Amino acid sequence: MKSERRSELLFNVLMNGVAPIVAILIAFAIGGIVIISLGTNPLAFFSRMFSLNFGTLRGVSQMIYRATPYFFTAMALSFAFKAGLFNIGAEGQMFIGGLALAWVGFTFTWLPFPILFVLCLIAGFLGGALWGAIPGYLKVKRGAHEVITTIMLNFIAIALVQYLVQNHFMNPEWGIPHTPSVAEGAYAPSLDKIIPWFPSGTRANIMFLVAIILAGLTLVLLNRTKLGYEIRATGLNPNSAEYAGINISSRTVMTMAISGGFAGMATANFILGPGSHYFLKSEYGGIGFSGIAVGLLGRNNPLGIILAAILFGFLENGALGVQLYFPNVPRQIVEIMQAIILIVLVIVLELARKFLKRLQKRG
Amino acid sequence: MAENTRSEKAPDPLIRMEGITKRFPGVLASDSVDFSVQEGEIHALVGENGAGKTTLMKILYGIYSKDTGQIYFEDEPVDIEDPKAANEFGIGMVHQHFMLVPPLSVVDNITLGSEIAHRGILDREEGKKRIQELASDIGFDIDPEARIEELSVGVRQRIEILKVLFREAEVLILDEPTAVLTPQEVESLYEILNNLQEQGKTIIFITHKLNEVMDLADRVTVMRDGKEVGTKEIENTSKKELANMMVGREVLLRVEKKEAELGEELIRTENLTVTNDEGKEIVNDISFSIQEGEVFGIAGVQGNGQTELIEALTGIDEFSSGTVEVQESDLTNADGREIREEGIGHIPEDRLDRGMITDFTVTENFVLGYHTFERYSNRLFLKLREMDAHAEEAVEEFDIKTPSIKTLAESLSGGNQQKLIVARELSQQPKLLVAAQPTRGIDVGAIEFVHERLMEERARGKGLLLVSSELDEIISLSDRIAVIYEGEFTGIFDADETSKEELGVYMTGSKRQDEEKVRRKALNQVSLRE
Repeated sequence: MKSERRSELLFNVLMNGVAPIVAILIAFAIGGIVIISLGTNPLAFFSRMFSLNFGTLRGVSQMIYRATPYFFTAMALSFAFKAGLFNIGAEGQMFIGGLALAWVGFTFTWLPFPILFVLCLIAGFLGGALWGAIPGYLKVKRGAHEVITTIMLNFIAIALVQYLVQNHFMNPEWGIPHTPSVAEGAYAPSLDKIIPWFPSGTRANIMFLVAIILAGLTLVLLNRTKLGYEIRATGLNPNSAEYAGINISSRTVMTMAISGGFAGMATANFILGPGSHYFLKSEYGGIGFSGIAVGLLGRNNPLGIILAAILFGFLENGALGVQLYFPNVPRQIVEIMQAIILIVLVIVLELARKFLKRLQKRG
Repeated sequence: MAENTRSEKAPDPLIRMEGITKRFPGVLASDSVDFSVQEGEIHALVGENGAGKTTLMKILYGIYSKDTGQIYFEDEPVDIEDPKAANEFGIGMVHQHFMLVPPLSVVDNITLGSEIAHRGILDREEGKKRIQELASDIGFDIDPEARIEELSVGVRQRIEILKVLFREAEVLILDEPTAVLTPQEVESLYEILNNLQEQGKTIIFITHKLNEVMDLADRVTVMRDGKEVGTKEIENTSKKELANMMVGREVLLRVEKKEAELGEELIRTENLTVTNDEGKEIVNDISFSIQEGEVFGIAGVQGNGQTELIEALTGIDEFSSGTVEVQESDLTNADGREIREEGIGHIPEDRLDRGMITDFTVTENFVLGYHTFERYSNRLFLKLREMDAHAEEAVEEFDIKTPSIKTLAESLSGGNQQKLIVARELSQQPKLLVAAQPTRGIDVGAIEFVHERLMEERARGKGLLLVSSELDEIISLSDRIAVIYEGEFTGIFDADETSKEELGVYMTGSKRQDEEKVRRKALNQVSLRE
């Protein structure tokens, strides 16, 4: 009995701990080769990147700012995954939610903080939830596979948001299409207002704490509530869930809605946090898709996702700063690294699985 | 007994396994087991679930590596590292779960991995020809171009057998070959195996059904708890003896059934009809009632509407017409939750794909379907402590073998999984229990346990609706038996006054009782003798 628990522990450590770390290390090695080919010393490059992120509290703060939105889009993937659904539509859900929260922010301008701020978050959640519920509904009613519908809805969302901003919310005199700014009551307080020893003047804001709280709430929801039990049952075996009297249609739609809701809050970090305070579509492109990688790297576990999101924030923030020192390494090195991490992770997980199987065969 | 089992072994076996030991984390799956097979025999390997039968055969087939021990092939020590090596010795295995690619044709499935090619060009015609020859050699026809997904389970199994023969196997290992088959398909499997034996093939089959052993095998080896208990010639043994060897104690093969003490009417159903998507009646105008303390059995060949009837009754599916009344309250097309709240338990026929969630823990499975009950949850949250307490209690009471209540249900043996489901349903103390194939695919000891428990419920005045394709089970447990054929009751019988043969005639629809009489007997309006 003890050894059974030990082998379960081994599985967890290997699949959820060792494999992602090994994948990250290998990805850095491969990224290093790319950097060498650009005529730059990768050790110098990465150590500069490291010190930019971790050298100062300011760096940490900037990194957190970059990391925050990834948490939300990754949670969109992972939450749906718990119910056996593949939500590839975080990108579209993020845009719809983003526009919704901006709209509340620049429309109900008389409302004070924190009422407007909270309303904005709720609007973001609902916008994303609506966009997520559509593929859920189509799956339940028409049997349309959510991978296809969520991808399609991404394109529709992007076009719809573009149209609304350009034709309804934008002042034609502005050069770049964006919405009006949200009112002050919607501003997300920066982290230094909450954590006194945090440096001021960075963009890291309360949304990072919201993310951590949501991660905890999600764990509670999935493992300790009736709804979470039903969502997991539906994901693991719909036939048995049906036997248990669980309404799997409603659970599927609800899961997709909650999943989309997470993505819908992703841009609050940019719009409500310190900065421009308006919805600027071009700034957020790709965060929804990268969320897939973050979710996988975080092994679909809310706490793992926080760590994975921080890694992505590390890369992104590092790449922005490191350009000053190594001008011949383009900033796209981040995307290359992200892609390599994902590919290597998939391979390493498969190898780890094979290794565990062999171990089991040997006994 | 041990000494004379040794002397029964013939001098030069084809395969000899000596002192095979295999340890898995937490279990000694095979504990210095000796096993040998003679050329040309049908050798049954029996034992309860988890006794180590499959492990031993997977070692022989090279899927598992052994810790210690030696395998001899024609008296030469050999090393079987992987299935490919096993194939080279002419050993092939038909797994319990088929390994076929559903969208591909029969010929492509069989040749997969051993394709016949000339200069790199696939020769499908040649493959087709050989497959047809092999099939007709063992006595059946096959369309090599049919796609697997169009074929029944029985035919798929034949294809697995052909796959092994195509690789020129001389020794066939079949892992619980009848577990998935209907009685008719079992018959034709017997025929195929006998034909194979006539051709000089050697067959090892794993089973826990003693009837099959007596029907088919020349010799039988019994395993228990990873040890070999003995090997017997079929002529020199009996079902009773084998059952005792398997379980390690005296087993009652017949259930003790006390005189029925009937009470009030529990459930009354009238004119139940279920139609499928095409509008065809799968269950056609069925009525019955069950009293307290009564077991109402429904016998029939699988696929005659039993599943649909039960699923509509328990809220998974819906009746298109008819009424269900349980002690005054109307439960027609009630949902699963209302059904359970009304005190109706359900042991579904498909253990893994209805009855439990294998990736859930034992505790989580213990509340499946009851998780909305006040005892286990409030409006939002699960009461984890109560859930754990309930699971601990039930594991203890029903003697479910599990490392802990936090273990995933998938790592329990089939018998213990079934016990878990039975325990879950009975521990809610239902007044009516719907049990479908409650002992399918579980071992003798667990069957005895389930039967005893069901009879205890009956003695306590609970009602039981029992659906089973095992006629022995139906007859020994039921009070009244209805035979279902193409969605209709073709006859109603008193269990004490009927026989397997009589039920069999009605099960194929070749005989029917008068329709009105069946209805009135099923509703308890007239005595069964009239």
